[in-house]
Amino acid sequence: MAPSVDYYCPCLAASPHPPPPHLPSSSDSFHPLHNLFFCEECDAVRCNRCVMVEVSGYYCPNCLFEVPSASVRAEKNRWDSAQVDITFEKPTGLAAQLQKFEDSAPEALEFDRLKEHFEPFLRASSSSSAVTPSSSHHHSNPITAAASSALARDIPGVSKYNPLSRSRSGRDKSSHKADIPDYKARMEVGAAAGMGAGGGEADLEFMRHLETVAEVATVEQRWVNSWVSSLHTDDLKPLRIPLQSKKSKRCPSCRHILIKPEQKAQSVRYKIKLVAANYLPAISVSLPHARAALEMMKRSLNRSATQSEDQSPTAAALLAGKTYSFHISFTNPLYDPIQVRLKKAQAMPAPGTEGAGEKAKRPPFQVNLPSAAFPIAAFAEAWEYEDDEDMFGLDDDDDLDGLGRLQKDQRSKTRTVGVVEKRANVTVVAGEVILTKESRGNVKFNMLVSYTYRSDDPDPAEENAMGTPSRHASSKPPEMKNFSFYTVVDLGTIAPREETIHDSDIWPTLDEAGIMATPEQPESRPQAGPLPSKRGEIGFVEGVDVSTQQEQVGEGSGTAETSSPLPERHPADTPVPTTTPQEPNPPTTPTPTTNAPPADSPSTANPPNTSAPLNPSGTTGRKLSSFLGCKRIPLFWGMRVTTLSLFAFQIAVLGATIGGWIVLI
Amino acid sequence: MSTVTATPRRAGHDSSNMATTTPQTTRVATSHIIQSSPHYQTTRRHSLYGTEDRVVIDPGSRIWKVGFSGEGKPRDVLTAGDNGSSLWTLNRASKPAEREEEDKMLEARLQSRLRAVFHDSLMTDPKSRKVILVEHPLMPLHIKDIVARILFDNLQVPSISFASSHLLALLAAGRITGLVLDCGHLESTVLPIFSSRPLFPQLRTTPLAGMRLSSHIRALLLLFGTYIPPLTSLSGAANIPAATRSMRVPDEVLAGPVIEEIKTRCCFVGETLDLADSGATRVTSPSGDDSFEHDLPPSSDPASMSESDFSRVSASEMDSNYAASSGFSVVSRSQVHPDGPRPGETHLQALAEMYKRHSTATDLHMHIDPPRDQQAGTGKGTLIIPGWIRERGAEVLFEGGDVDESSMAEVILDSLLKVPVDLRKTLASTILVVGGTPMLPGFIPRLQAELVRAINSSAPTSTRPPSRPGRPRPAPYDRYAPLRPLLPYFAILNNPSPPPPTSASFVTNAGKAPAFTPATMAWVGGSLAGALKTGGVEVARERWDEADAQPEDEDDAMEGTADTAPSSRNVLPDWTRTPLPVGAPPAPRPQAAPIIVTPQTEVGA
Repeated sequence: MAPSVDYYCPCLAASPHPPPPHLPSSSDSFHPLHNLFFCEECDAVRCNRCVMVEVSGYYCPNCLFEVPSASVRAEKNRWDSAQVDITFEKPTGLAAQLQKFEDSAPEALEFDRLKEHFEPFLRASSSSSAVTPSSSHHHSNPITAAASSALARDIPGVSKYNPLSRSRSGRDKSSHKADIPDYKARMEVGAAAGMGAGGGEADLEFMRHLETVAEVATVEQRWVNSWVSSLHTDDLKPLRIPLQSKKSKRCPSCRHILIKPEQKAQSVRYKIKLVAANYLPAISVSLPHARAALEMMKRSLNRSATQSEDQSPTAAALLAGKTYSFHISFTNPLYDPIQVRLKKAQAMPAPGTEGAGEKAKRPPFQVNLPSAAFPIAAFAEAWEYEDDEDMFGLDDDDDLDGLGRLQKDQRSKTRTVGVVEKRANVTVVAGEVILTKESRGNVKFNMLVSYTYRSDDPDPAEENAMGTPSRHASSKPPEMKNFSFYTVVDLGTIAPREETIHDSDIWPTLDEAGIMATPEQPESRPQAGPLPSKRGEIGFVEGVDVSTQQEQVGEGSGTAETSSPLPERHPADTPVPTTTPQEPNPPTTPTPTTNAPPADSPSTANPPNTSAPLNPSGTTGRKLSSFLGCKRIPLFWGMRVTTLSLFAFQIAVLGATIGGWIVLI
Repeated sequence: MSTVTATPRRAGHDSSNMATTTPQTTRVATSHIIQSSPHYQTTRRHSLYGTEDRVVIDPGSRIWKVGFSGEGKPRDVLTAGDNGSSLWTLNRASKPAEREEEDKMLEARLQSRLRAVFHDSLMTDPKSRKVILVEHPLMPLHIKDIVARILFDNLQVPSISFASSHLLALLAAGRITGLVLDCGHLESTVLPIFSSRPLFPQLRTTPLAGMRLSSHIRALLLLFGTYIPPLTSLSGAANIPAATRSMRVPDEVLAGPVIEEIKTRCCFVGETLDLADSGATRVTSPSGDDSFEHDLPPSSDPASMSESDFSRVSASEMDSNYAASSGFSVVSRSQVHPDGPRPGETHLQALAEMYKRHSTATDLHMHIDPPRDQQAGTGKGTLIIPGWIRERGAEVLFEGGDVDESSMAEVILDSLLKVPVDLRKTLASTILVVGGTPMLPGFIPRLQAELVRAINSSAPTSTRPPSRPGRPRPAPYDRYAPLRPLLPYFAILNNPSPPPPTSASFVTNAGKAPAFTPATMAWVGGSLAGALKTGGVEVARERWDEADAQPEDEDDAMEGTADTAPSSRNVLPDWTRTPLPVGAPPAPRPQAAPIIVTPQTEVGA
């Protein structure tokens, strides 16, 4: 339901271009980022469908004993810990003791007997088969070759075949017997059935007078037995527990290890881990209008949680015939800044001839993505950020945003495509999707993401040893490299047009809410659900982190959402020429929309304390931006003052205690 | 009826017990031998550290059996399809684009299954394990192709051996000659094998198999089963009797897994439905066929369809009509539909009446999950399965008369009719029944009885007066007349309750097969073939890669269908690709016929 981005692995397809996303089979080629690996040698994404899996260790799931692989083979991948009705001579090596039982199991004995039965025959025939004129198309099969050698002696009889002499068939059979004696089973099925197994008379009687289903063992409990077994649940025997294994994975083409766990069964760490998340920017997509709708719903329904849950999908739905904006946020995992360029994948003419024709009649929506390349700052650990840097990033953001903004201003806000926000190693860009009136199904499109990064051109051997190598910034002269990969963006399901009635039911409530929304907007922000603050890897500055917490609940926790006040950014707010009269939220006039962004963008760097003054500021929406603007710098410094004063106070206390000690001594 | 059938069965029991006395003693001896000689132990131990044990995969459309060769039972058995459905069907989309999409989906599913087999079930390195693929003779070629492609390209196994499942099953029975019936999920196939050579042209098949049985049981349950939904609240539990709450079985309750559980845990196959009470030994009963047709409308009747057709029709009608009848929550046992019986239902009603009379099985209460939209209740609902459905549900597999859908017995007899005459007796006396559906208790004894009945019932039923005086009535069509002399020889190798031998001079094979279950016999045979270092045509990866690489250039030249599938196909062995034997010269062409006529007459003269 929630919008998602999956990454393409080309292992299933012959061509490097992804299959059109509307095909159900395409889902097998796209994977979430956290399931993917990255091979540095091949410079390619690898998925769980194509990596070579090797067992790097077996262990018992019960006791976590690591079983040597030699004994694994001996003990048939199983290690027992349960025993019922089986007595052991000694408490150790239970598997080996059980092995004896299994070796003397009826099917094993019968199997060996069968082997003994066929072996001499095969040996004899393989020696003679070279002489026999084997038939043209069966010669390569040893068994048939063997058999044909036996058959060769019968061939005169067959050639003299005469329908009138029926009696020959009997003689044929007997002559045949001379070659292969009839197999005498160790235990015949007729005898086994007499002992109450194998679908004989006893089983029939039992089934006929069955009282409860539970008396019969399930087929899953029985089907591994190759030997006839009782149907009764009572007769089930405990099984040895299959071992678990730790697996390492290799690149299918270059055989380099992509991931390798530590040997110990107790450990959950990896010796080598080349996961794609360390190489490719993490992408998450969100629909601002859905979030806004959710927010308003929550507020207007006065925390009747169930109701809002029921209705939120409809409010957040995409309606046919409308235009929506969506935000794609990119998080850079590399230690170097990267330049990202987006492109909607052209529907590749499929190898099949019908592909083109089908595509022609299938343009249910149109997607606009920012065409210009945009930068994403380098990943840095949380402590490496300083406020100045944030400021710097902010300015950068402004400069860069100018382009997108400019477009927007000049074209009277028809375009919402461009960079929305930039902070730390996260950049959020907006795109828009125009749904035609007839559109149905999911809004899903393939997006080509290409990024240039500064390559260290590293020594591969060293790389592997280092674990996550490309994270280490090196001092070598930078060389720009390009890498591109496909993704599929799923924005969700298009609500059918019939639901517009329902939709108009909802929007009025939103309208009401919207009227109040402008003044109450600041109040809504503190109300927003807590954003999961687990972004250690991405390494946020605290200030940024908290400022995001003021925002509405973002979709992926790991992705940074826009930090500008939402209502202004609401796609429904921007008057699109195609909008219908039902278009919601008239209260937000174009003026704040245009004014807001410049005022907002500084607020990206707002320190956490912003939230407190924001609450009182909620009297008028019109004042909001200016209020924010003037409050910003004091607040900004206020934070530093508090921390500094705290620090100074602590120093003073420390000094005072030391001084006190000295005085005392 | 029961006494009549019970007596011979009892005798059969005794005989089998007597027959086993000798093997019992030999068993002791052999087990001593096995334990005293460490031969097999050592060989097995030896192969531990190597990888010469091959991986044996028996991929069915629903259930896969996997393990290592040289072992007596599979390591793992897994359902391949998603929740009870089969992984593939025998239908393919006709449009190329749809078909391509279908194949892609299938490939993705097969890939995840095969990867799971090696990585999760067997936990072994595919690169070092040769594979024996137990292949059904009618496994669609494109599926075989996909499987091979995944094994070679994705998993990079060193080689694949393709072995016929029927032949392997026969090996597991200790024989190389026999008539093997494989009753699986999608279809039942009979393949005669003589001296380990499968006689593929004589293969016969019928769609009556596990899937049909499932849909039939489902149709019967929809009509005659009773469902008691869970109580809506625990407080009112004592007040409402279960009888008033009972209702028709909602369609959504009978999901695939539920039907599967009913089939595998509750159903069995009763004795022959012999209305004339003449028993299996009846040779020619003048009224037998007629009375049979009384209860079961013959499918040759143009006004009616085969019974199974009805059941399917009614099942689909139930879907549409259920909404209308859902308000009708309290139903009587007879489950008569409110808006009058429909044609399909009247037939099923008649069927039910007859089945009820011939069944003594107990009704079963089964607890099942209520449908999703009625989850408000407490706990599980109860499904009451009438005993006759349990016993007679499988009748659908034994009901003959349809040309396109032969019964189990008919498909065997049809195949026998096609094999050379001098092999018939041998093959008839070594019938082997394998597959998942014969795991139903009573299936194999019933099949034996049905074989006898089918041969007998095809006999001329009555000597009616000639239609025109003075002219002898033409001999009625007697399908299985050539097989009638073989009647005493018919024997199913793995019959758990073999009939008593008819003549002392004749040694019957019935019940002499080792007691492997029918479902795993093909796999065990594959394991045996692996242990014997034989088994099927082996395709090495080098050969696959070569064939895969070469035609790609040709493809560019041809600039046609760009997929490599047709190229790789030639590498895989399949009996359908074998060249036809050079037989008799082709028949003269019609236009040439008048010229030849005169010399022929001259020669004749």
